[in-house]
Amino acid sequence: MSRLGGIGGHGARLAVFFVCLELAARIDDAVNYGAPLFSRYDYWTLLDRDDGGVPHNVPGARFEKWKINSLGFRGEEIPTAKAPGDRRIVCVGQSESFGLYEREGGEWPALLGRRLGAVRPGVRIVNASVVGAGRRSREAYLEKYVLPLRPDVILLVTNPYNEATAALQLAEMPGAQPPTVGGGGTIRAAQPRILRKLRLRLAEVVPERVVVAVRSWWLRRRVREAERTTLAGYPALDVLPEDAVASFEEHLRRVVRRVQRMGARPVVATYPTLVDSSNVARYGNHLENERVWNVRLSERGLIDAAGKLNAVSRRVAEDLAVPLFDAAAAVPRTTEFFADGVHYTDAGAERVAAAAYETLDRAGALGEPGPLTLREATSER
Amino acid sequence: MSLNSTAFLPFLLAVFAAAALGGPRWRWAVLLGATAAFCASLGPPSLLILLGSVIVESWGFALAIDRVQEPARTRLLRLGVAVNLGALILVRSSGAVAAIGASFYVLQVVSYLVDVRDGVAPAERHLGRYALFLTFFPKFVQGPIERAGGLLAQLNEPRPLSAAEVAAGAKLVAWGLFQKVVVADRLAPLANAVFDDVGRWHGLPLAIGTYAYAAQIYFDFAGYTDLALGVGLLFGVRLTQNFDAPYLAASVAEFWRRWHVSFSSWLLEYVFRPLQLALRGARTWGTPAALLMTFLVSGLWHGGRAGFVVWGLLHGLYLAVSLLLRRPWARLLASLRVRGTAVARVVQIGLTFHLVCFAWIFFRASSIADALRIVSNLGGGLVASVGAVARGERWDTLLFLGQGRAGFVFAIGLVTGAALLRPLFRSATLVEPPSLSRLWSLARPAVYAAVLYLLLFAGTATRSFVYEQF
Repeated sequence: MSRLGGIGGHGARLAVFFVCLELAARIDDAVNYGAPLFSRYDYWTLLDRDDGGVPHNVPGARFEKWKINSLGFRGEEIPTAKAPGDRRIVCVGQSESFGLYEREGGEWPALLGRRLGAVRPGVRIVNASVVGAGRRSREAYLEKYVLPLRPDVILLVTNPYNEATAALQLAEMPGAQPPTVGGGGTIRAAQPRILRKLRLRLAEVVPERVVVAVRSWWLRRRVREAERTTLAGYPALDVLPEDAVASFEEHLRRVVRRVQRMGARPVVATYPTLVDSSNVARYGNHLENERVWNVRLSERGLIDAAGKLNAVSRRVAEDLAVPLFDAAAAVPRTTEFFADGVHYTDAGAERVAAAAYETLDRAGALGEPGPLTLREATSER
Repeated sequence: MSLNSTAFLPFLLAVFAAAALGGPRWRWAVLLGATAAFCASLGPPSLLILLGSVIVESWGFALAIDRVQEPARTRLLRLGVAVNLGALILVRSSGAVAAIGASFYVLQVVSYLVDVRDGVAPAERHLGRYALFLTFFPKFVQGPIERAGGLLAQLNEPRPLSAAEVAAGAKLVAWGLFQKVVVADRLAPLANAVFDDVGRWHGLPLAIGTYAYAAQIYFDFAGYTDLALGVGLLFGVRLTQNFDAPYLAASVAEFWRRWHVSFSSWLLEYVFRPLQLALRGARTWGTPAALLMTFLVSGLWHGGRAGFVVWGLLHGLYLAVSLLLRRPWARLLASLRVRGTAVARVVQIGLTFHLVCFAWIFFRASSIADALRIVSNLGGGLVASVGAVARGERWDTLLFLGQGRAGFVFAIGLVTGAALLRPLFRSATLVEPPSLSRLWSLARPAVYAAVLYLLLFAGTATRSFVYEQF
């Protein structure tokens, strides 16, 4: 009996220990990020879908370094009304532009905004990117969420992997439900927050090779599972079919025209990716993460899709005589600039911001220059 | 690889596993191998060469001393001490990386040779165990400075590892790390803000910076020592306790019985007592002079910087003056009818703490000029700055030293918490569980969780230990 009591006592102490550890994690989040103590708090609280099924950021939401302003865009508050003489450049992309691995405020639209702040005080960058947003909702999102900003320039960033998958889905399954974005119903308020923190801390202290190996193993499992459920025995495609390429081109042309009809000037961007055929032997493992979300394409298929769809972006920009932001040519394909297959490191984001500035400046999209040139402003800082 | 680096934990686990598998008989070999690997990770090959030379040479001196009779014993001892102190002065003055740990293991060599000469300890014949005694990795960089009767005796009679010791050791390792990476390293920005930019401050900020440094150096050094003691316990080795709530000392003499105990007792035994004996002819002034000279040595041991020397001399002066004023002070307390009361003790603790803090200014400041400027500006602007703070003005500068309210409050909370929670992590004997009230016993899992959380998530980027430089 006393032995049982002893075991019970140890069990109770252990339970108190873990409860307190979790409580400490929640207090930490509350103090540092203003997180709620007892309700849901995770990355997906930043995202939602409106009644029309359009994914958007949740105004005022915050998770760790990611903050959404009151209008539903990442970054600082912006006045609802546009002052006379002001110019608004709106970046519409996905997670690569929303920011993932960069330090807080290190995502490329924020860096671009800071670069412009000194030399073009009247120009404001709005980061209207939404994680996981894509083709199905792009036009509706522009109408509902971007148009009210009265943008002067809209910079369109399209992820070729996701666009390829969307094109394939539309071709094969016209009535299919859109992929889940936000509202991850499996994540509950009771989910221990301490586990995520422990995992992140562990990844910091464990040698990088071990982290990469574990992550790779986990991703391979997820890819196999996705292949089993999605491909139903058919092989993944090594080449993106031409009708999918044409479908993307038709979509991009339509979006560009729509932006023009909205009274804004479109800028079409190519999409930088870490892996291409020249470095696949070295960085091929980074495509595993992309394959989890785009399982219909093999690794070769993803490389093929990126090449083809970036070529489409260049062609559309040229045909429709709109500026091209050739981001794919601006970022070297190494892990100094990419934290994974498509997301940037701080250095990568710097490169993209610099290239975006040059493109906008060259295209005359920035309006009248301010009192300082960029070089002068940078040297003054 | 420092004891607070992330690489140290897997290293420690690997050594622990090897020691557990090897059993008591081969533990010395496992620990010696681990020590060699640890030392190799600290610096260039010259460190190992110097270390090997000191080990072999001092081992040979001890064996030789043991074999001969007086007066040859003392002559050999003097030669051995001169060779080792000479080597210490040489490597320290060269500023070479090879000097890491030398201040500690050379003192250990000196005490060992003296003990062998005096017949207090036998000369160790086993070179491996002797090498381990000098360099055992947890204490290699910052001590504690061990005596042959303590550590060498334990290495010669290893016991099977006990669960109680391992559990206490693990707890001490966590507590030591907490004191270092959470508490001390959070205090460092406050102290650095003042001492790295002395001319910017007047009055209260200088006092806060000095208090912050006093707390930082304590938690830094006590944290290292607890870490070393904890690691020792994991291998069934009980190292010397170095700190015993030194800022609760009611006199400077008591402070030195509680602060860096292994060093102060070494000074007492091998410097102060011989000096006191030599100066006994000077009657009243003999002991105060011996104290001054002893603490001059203490200052010089920390390095050639004038600030260390002044710091040592100040402590010598405190002790000498308190010795000379002992009787008038006792009469004063008696006439005020507070002698032996709690009030008197609190006043004495406060006075001692501030004397110690005053000396820390010279220890930490980059130069004597900086230290004197701090002393001068501290007195000059104190009333005005305290008044401004009382009126709620300029708290960010005067109180938080530009480090932000949150950082300041967090640092104060950590210092208070660490002082209050200490009994939960270390009993006087280290291994036997501390006797706790029922409330503390119930709160223990919550406290462990909080400390572990802070250790994992509130630790700062790795900073080196303050005493590593000595």
